[in-house]
Amino acid sequence: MEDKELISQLNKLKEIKPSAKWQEENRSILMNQLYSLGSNLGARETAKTKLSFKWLVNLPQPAMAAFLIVMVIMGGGIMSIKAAKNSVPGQALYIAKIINEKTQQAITFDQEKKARLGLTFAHNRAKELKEVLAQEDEQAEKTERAQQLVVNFRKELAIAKERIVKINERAPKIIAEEPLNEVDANLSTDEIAVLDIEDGQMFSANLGKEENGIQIGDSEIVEEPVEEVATEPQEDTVAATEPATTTDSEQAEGQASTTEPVATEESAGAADVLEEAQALLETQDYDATLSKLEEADDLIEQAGTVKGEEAAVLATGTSAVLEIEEQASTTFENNDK
Amino acid sequence: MPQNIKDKQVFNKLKKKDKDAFILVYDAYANSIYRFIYFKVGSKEEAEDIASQVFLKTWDYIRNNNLKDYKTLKSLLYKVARNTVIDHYRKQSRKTESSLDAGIDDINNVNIVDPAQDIISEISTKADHEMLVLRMRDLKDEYREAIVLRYINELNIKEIAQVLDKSRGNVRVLIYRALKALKELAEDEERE
Repeated sequence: MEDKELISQLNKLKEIKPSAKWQEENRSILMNQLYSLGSNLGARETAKTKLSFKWLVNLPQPAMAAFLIVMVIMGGGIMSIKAAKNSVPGQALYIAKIINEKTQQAITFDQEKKARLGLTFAHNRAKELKEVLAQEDEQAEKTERAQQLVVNFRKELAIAKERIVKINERAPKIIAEEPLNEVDANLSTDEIAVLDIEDGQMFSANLGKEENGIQIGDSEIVEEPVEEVATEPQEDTVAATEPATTTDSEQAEGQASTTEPVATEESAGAADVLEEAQALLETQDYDATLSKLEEADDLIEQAGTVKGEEAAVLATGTSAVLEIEEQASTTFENNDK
Repeated sequence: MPQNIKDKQVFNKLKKKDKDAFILVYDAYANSIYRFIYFKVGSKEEAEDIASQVFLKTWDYIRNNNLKDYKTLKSLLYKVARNTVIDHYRKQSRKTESSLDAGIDDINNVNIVDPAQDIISEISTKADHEMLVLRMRDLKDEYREAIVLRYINELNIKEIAQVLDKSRGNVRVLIYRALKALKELAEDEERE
């Protein structure tokens, strides 16, 4: 039987579905569970955060008065910031919003956080632009505000890109693992050839079909060295490890076993994504622009999380990394048994 | 808007524990998760029970964790599904002796074809499908899993690697071996 024919038959097994009745009933059950869990949670959290003001009664009057004045000023400030959060150019509280952003920028010292803050502000500019263009004001006024917003958006993006460059410069130089040159004795010649095939080309009956899925970062496929070969399959007695039960040490091992140079690539990926966001804004696709900004934010966040651990691992040298990877794979396989 | 941007927006909302976003996830993935489980347990009723548990467990995980360890929602869902099936087998083995033939009778009784189809094509399609499903049962669990993920649920290599916690190279070799084993089963049957 030809591979394509077999694959085509397998594709048809997509017709196996649960009954519509089960799907609908299960959906209702799930919704009930989600919302009943949510309301219970809300009640518990409310109970925990209730403040007790009993101690106020014992304060002398002048101290109590001073405390109340400070609370009113702070409360007023906080409320005006909250009210300003959704304001757009032309509204009275917009200046408060900008002042708040500048303040946040000034009191943030970490480069990664500054970059992410910059993206948040760029995100705000893009949202404001969308809202301004939807307003029913005079065309001349709208155009002027929109132009100013576009200028500000470009500024924020440029600043964010600069910061990403700084993050890259400071990140440790991560040397990509040299691919293992030894061929595993268990791999046949055909299987070795399979390793060279691009992901989308391998025995796919859906040639030309876009491979969808929730992707983060570049969709470009990076070839990995083979660390292990598929061994005899585990029996059904494989240990069940819920994702939530992963311990910190297992997490660190799992991350240590990553061979891709993640931190600099992801930071560089964020810069590319920002370019795309800018291009999308020029074409007035604001929803896509906002999505790209969120994507860039995630990349910077991931770069920040991984680079610390990667640096620690690489400090011990390449051979030590390979050792850790082997131990991590063995640990994982032992956990599976 | 492209599908992957929509998926990304949903995933971002899930990180903020948005319940409505999770219902969208259920609508999008209920069928494929059911199918994945069905090929593992071989029984429609069990697959439905386990699939229900998977979504509840996934929501529970999302509520209590920040999803940083997962790059995609698919990998989380499939991992929870795999673990739930394993738990199910453990409970079953405690209750009764395990049977290698468990579930095969169920396959024969399952209507895997839409009854609305034309009767003749239904019979022929059903026969082909049943043969293929039976052959799949004869495969090693690892191979069957790889085939279901790749050719039936149509995950890409990167996604399968995340679900199975293997490298992409290993996944490609695994799929190659799985397909080869399935072909050999088909050829052995034709010879008989």
